[in-house]
Amino acid sequence: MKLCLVCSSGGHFFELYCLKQFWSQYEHFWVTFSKQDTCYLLQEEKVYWAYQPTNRNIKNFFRNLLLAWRILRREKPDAVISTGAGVGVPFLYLASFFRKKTIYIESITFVNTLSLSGKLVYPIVHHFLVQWPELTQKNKKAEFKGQVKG
Amino acid sequence: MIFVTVGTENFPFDRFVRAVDRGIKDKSFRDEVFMQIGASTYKPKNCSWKRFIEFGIMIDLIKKARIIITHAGAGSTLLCLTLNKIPLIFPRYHKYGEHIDDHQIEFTKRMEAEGKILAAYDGAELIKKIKHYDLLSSQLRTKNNFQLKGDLASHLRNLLH
Repeated sequence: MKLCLVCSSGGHFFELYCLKQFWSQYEHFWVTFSKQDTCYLLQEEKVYWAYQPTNRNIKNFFRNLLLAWRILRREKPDAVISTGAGVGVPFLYLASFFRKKTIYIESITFVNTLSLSGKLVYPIVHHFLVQWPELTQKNKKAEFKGQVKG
Repeated sequence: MIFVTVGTENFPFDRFVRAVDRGIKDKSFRDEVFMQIGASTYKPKNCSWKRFIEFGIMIDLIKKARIIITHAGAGSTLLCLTLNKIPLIFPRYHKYGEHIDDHQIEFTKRMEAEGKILAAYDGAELIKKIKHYDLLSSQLRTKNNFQLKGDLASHLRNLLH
């Protein structure tokens, strides 16, 4: 089982990194932004650097879409897991197209509403995980399976 | 010392940086202060600061600091809790141009209600909470609810197979 772990830097990255107990059990690689936190914590890891910023940035969306095409075809992961933000969207859509397992984990900072990237991938992912139980009430597909460890 | 961080957002957070800088000038607290100001346009006059710092240095500052005051980002908040520190959180407001929406405020209120962090929502409250930090944080530690349960990792395996 090979995992593709895709996220932006900052909090989205740290939340995915905090799930180390899970992803370290599998062959995996990262797709994220080159910043102080990712460069520091992923020194021993296999990483592809994505294009940033992605916040409402159409040009980088398409660049990351092309990047996702190349990476997913080369690496052939069994599952793509993302904590957002925008960089996760092209990867999850293409993974879905390639019939790979897709898991999106909404940030712990979203308590009452979904993020924009969450809303964009909600229709297509196999599992849409939220970190606060109240989000499952308004979003029928959302699953609450706990939180990342602080 | 007091370590202040605004995270790596592209939005400035001048209101926060200014409030702490004013507190130092008014001698509201005696600690040495270091600020990571990110994209903020206001530059502190009363303490040392940098826009961005290396991650290893950030970890050291969090370990060393008596108080960590941070915006309500997942990275900063979780890093504090991981290092067994209770952060004082000052969330970004959309109406002041500090973030894309108000999710930081909702997150802060939820975590505060759960007894996991301390919070302030304006400059005056911030200074007050800094002054009473030791008492307020020890009250949270006594209730012993401030760590996240961290059970998501163990459930993810089931979703894959």
